[in-house]
Amino acid sequence: MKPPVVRCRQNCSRQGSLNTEKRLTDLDLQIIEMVRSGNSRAFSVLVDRHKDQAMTLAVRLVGERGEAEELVQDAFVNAYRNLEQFRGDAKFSTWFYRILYNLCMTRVTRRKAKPESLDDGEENLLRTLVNEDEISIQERMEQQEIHRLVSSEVGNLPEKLRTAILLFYVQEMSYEEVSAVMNVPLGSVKTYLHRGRHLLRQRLLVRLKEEVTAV
Amino acid sequence: MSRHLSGNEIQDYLDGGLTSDARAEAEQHLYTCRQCRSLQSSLTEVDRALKSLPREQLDARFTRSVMSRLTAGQADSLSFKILEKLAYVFALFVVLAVLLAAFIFSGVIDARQVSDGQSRIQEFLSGSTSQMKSQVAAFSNLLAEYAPFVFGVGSLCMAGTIFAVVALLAVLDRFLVRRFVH
Repeated sequence: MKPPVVRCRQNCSRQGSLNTEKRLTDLDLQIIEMVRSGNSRAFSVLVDRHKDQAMTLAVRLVGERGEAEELVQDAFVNAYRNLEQFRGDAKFSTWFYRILYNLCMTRVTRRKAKPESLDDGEENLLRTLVNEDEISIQERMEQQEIHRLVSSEVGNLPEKLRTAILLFYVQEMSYEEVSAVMNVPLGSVKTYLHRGRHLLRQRLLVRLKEEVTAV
Repeated sequence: MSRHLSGNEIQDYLDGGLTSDARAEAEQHLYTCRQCRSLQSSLTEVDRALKSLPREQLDARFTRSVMSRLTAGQADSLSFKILEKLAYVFALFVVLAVLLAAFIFSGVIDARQVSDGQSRIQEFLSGSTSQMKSQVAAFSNLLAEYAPFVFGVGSLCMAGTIFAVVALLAVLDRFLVRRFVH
């Protein structure tokens, strides 16, 4: 009997788009060269290319659209003013998202007195609430419902887990790029991703359990 | 494999992070173990949901807004650069004006001292034509009488003019950027 076929995200979908990604990166570098040689209006192309992705990240990190837009603007302005410091040994997007991430974190940290922990307590509590082995999410929930819940629950994840998840899934960055943006070791990125996904799944299970109990 | 796969192992399997041996072993276990298969399906579903998280969109106004901030920043910096260069000249004239005013009021500079200077200038220009000599003489007479005030007021006027030019440049700078860049 043949083993089940499982889709391999990293090896297949990412490597498949490697050439496209390289082309886009080259385009970013070309634009940067144009800006450096005096054509400052070329920077608008760079803004157009990255604004939506940047906004998606910022909204999820700071939680408020107006504030996020202001931060994305600040990030682009900072990037422009410090373009000379961009050496080109990493992708522009990695460099730019690091600026944006730092701005968002400064804003979020300013809002609250102490930074959020990785929430071990909550994770352990969730473990006691759900029996993972017995429940399969997709057998009990409609796909649309899962997507809706995941979308709302991502915003409730601890900051570092949320950032790693967003950079990896929404910005489609590699582990190395996430590590560069967040300025943490590669191993931490993997841990954040594991814990983020795990926490999301557990929260989904809790929601599912609540719904079952309600019925 | 007799034991169940952990969530991390299954996620590594989904991400393609296992070695080929470990992958084959995991696949074998997943095929036979309903519990692990269930966990794998759940993680796959979470994975899929994460990849399809809604994306935000910003319209062209956002780009225009960023670019106007950048060009406004450039205009400011250009004015600032001009001001920075002229600041030393401006300061020199201000200092000169203050010094002269102080000398005049304290009596250090008076018409006699300037008159000595006048005669030295006349001696220097003694080889010139008679017409030029008379013009210089008339001018130096005038200087002798009003020199301290002329220099004092002149320095102040010069400082004021420089300041006005810089301010005008800054306004023009902004106007030109708004008018022709946007």
